[in-house]
Amino acid sequence: MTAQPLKKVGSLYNEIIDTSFAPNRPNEMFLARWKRELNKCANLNEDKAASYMGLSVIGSIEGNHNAVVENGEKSLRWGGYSCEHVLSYSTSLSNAGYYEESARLLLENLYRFPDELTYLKATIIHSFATGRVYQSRDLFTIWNKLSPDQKHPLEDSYKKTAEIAKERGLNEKDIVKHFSFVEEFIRSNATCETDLYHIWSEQILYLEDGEDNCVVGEYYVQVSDEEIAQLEHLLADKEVEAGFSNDQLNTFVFVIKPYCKERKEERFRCQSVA
Amino acid sequence: MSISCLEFLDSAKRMMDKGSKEVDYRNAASRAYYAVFHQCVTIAENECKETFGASHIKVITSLQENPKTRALGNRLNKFKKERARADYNLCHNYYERDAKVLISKINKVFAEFDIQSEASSA
Repeated sequence: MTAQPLKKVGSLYNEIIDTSFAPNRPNEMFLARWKRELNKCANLNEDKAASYMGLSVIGSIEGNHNAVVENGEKSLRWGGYSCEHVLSYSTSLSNAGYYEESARLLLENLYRFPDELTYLKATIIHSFATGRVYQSRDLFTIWNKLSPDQKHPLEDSYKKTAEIAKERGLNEKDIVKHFSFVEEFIRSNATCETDLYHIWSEQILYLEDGEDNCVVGEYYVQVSDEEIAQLEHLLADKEVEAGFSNDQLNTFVFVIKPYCKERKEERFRCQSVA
Repeated sequence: MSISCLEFLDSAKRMMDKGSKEVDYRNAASRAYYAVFHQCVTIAENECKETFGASHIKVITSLQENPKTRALGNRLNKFKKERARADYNLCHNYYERDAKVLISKINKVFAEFDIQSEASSA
């Protein structure tokens, strides 16, 4: 019998991706089945890179950083560092709450894809989302050369942020340190209500262009109301203890909000439209 | 003052109990913010011997400049962003749980005020 390896791994991968955005996460039984099938495909040499890519996505659904990295690295090696594999690995890292690692992965491999707009777009967004406000601003120079007719939708707000940070004398190293600090805080303190998903956070950043221009980073976490209140209380204390300047705390403001049912459904609808 | 700042918080809670529309949640978030804001004005003015009136930024900055109240200033700044989102960002959904969580956060700050005032009066 002639096997159709690519189709099999490909359809499995699509199934996992679709589910990873669904409001209700797949149960352990589904995840175990997918893992079994993908491991089998990888062992049988049936598109190893895609199989590991799928396993890395499952790792992110489970909040298992080790599995994300182990399988992500394997997918890169077997896939010859293709754009698709680097992007998928980076998304898995972000989905598992490791934004800083995700941004570093994209920036380190940017030289491989000098003409890839999709890759550049992800790099700009991840750089900004990890506090690299000047680097992300500078990447628009490449974007505008590659795509002179199609302006990046976030260019104005990202450039405005860089301008604000510059006016307030903030340096990128300190901003990145602040973002990493909050990321690490969320990861190590937010425990999920189920054992299966120990963390489910999502970071949303937007520029508030009002009397006190600033970037607001909202972390959505799946814990009880009281725990969120406790977390943000503690975060405010820890940010002060860590010695970040008032200017920096007022320019980059992090709040912790609930990843409630409605928000999950909204996210799912947005992903479906996209 | 003819009412206390806690009455804003009570009003926010009543809105949450009786309301069922997004506008109720947004209003509740806004009222809860003002409860903590007014309490912070009193603290900042007592510490600095200065009058801040309605300038939210001045109150936040003043609290942040004092090592004793720096974390409170940081908290108030976060609440202010949430309140701005509830009051001004109408195209973004605001959910019941967003308001509930904000009220929980503000309750926590008031609980801390109580502990501090008990400690200072003991």
